[in-house]
Amino acid sequence: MKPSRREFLVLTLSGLGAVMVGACGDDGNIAQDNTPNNDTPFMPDIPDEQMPDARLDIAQVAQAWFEGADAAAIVAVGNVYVQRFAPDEDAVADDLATVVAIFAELEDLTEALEALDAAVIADFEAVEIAAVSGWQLARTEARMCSLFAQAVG
Amino acid sequence: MFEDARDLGDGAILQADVCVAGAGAAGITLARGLRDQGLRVILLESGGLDLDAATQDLYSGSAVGTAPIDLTGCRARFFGGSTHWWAGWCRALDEDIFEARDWVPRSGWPITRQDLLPHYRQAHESCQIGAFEYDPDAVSERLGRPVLPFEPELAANVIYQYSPPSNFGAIYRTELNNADDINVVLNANLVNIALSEDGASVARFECATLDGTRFSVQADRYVMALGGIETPRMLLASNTQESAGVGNSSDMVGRCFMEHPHFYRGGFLLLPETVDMSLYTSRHDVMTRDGDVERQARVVAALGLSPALRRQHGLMALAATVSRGDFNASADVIGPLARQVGELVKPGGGFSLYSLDLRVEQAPNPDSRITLTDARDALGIPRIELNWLIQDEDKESVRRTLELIGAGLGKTGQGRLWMPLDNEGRYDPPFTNEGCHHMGTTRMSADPSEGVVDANLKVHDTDNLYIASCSVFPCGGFANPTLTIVALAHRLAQHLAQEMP
Repeated sequence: MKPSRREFLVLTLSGLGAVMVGACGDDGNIAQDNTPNNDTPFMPDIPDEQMPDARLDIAQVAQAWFEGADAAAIVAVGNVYVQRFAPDEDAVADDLATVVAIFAELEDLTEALEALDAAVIADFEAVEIAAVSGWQLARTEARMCSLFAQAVG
Repeated sequence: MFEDARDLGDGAILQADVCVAGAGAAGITLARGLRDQGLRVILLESGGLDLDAATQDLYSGSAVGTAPIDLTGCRARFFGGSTHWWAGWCRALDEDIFEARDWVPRSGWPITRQDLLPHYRQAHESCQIGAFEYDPDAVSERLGRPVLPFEPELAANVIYQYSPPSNFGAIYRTELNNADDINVVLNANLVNIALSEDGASVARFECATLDGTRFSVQADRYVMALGGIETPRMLLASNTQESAGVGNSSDMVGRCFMEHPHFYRGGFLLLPETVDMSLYTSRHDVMTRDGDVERQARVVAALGLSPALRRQHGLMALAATVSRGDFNASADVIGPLARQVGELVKPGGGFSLYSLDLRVEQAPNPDSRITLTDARDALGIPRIELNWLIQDEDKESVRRTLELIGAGLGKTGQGRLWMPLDNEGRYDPPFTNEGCHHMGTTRMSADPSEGVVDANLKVHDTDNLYIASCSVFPCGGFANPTLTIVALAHRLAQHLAQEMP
């Protein structure tokens, strides 16, 4: 069942703590890469009214799409992406809305994952690239990392 | 036959049909080709049969500009020239390099790749490589080793062939020694190009040895095969009759110096461990085919773009060779996010890192140039200053090219690409090295005001002076220049034989 916006925000705020811990990853140096200091939250606080709607649970979709991957790693990538490309709450909200829109109307999880896969391929075809610390990522996958960092952490 | 200029009498005058200055890949190829056409050749070589410090010092000068150039470490001034130190990489220039590209100022050769094709085939034999075939899919199939399945709209694979490498001084020495119509004169330095009174033709090559012997060579045709730095140097330095130097009414001698900037570790790839990259990371022997010709070749694959893609996106040429990388050793270059991005490539681990070394085409830039200084070498010839410039446009083209290759790799579902970017998102390679490819300084042009030599490599301003060197390249592509140098020398030999009675 999809959480209410308030519940989602609580999840996101609690996820920020996980983000701060998870961001260190194996190397312990993510904070040095792009953020001003380790005490500054990477993810801006998104107001309820700016959170996107979807028929499926957004956190569940994010978790399923990154199944098997190291969560801290995905969070780290998401944080660096946000730092570079969506450094304020409006930008983050827009980004979330863009990526959630890919599956927002879908009610089947498998179809949602396939839609995201197709969006990644389409990004590469169109050379819609986000250079995240030099890594050439599809915009969709970079945004999904950001979404994962917020929704799952 | 070989003789030593130090044994000549002072003031000696040698005569031949063709005098070639410089016994490197171009000079030796030309001499062999002319001999086959029944012409008598004098082949002048500054050095002897072995490296000599005093002769090598004649190359010294100053190098300024964007990146360092080693003026004496890249070039070998003895019989065989720089083929003594050549690494053997061979590839013909792609067809678009010969064409005028509207996004590349001063691009376009006055000849086509098709014009050079029969001579590329001759060069393949001279350089002891396979048949004229560079098809990555055919090579991959014959070897049973895959190439990355790029869609042609995004990226491409390229093939290099390897020469053993052919040391032209070693493999052709006996042949030249036994050739009655080739006189190789060692320790013979060209010190001045003397023009006729009307300045329209070369009257003689004036030469000297380091121990002070002076002599000259008179011929019907003269060829400078001294390489991309020494050729413009000698044209500029021969300025007693024409103050700007020989062949320099266009003021293009020495200009448009181009290298192939080598950006070592200029990119990285992350791929699942299961992806077979062996065709890129090591050399393989394979049969190559070109019509009726079949020959064994040693090959390696690399990454790049097709000519069509370069045209579509307005990009310069480049190739990226691939080698196994190490996460820890590369951390200082690629930063700490590599293993994390690896989770996108292969969730749960099991991914490998590969390093890319880029060989990059530069746009011709008249301000990247060779000029003379007041300092003089032991022969009294002005030393040079080389100002090698790498333009922001060159690097931006690299960034956009790598972006396409990265997109192509992502689309295969097999990995991700990393490139070094500065805080403004500009391509910022950690290492910039020269390739020892000195091109463009006496460029070919149809219009005499835009270059130094014509389509037949004849200096525009003269009737009988030619240049055989990668100094004539108007554009350099990404391919190592030796094969094209040798092809042009074969072509020039044919042209001279046809032209001379």
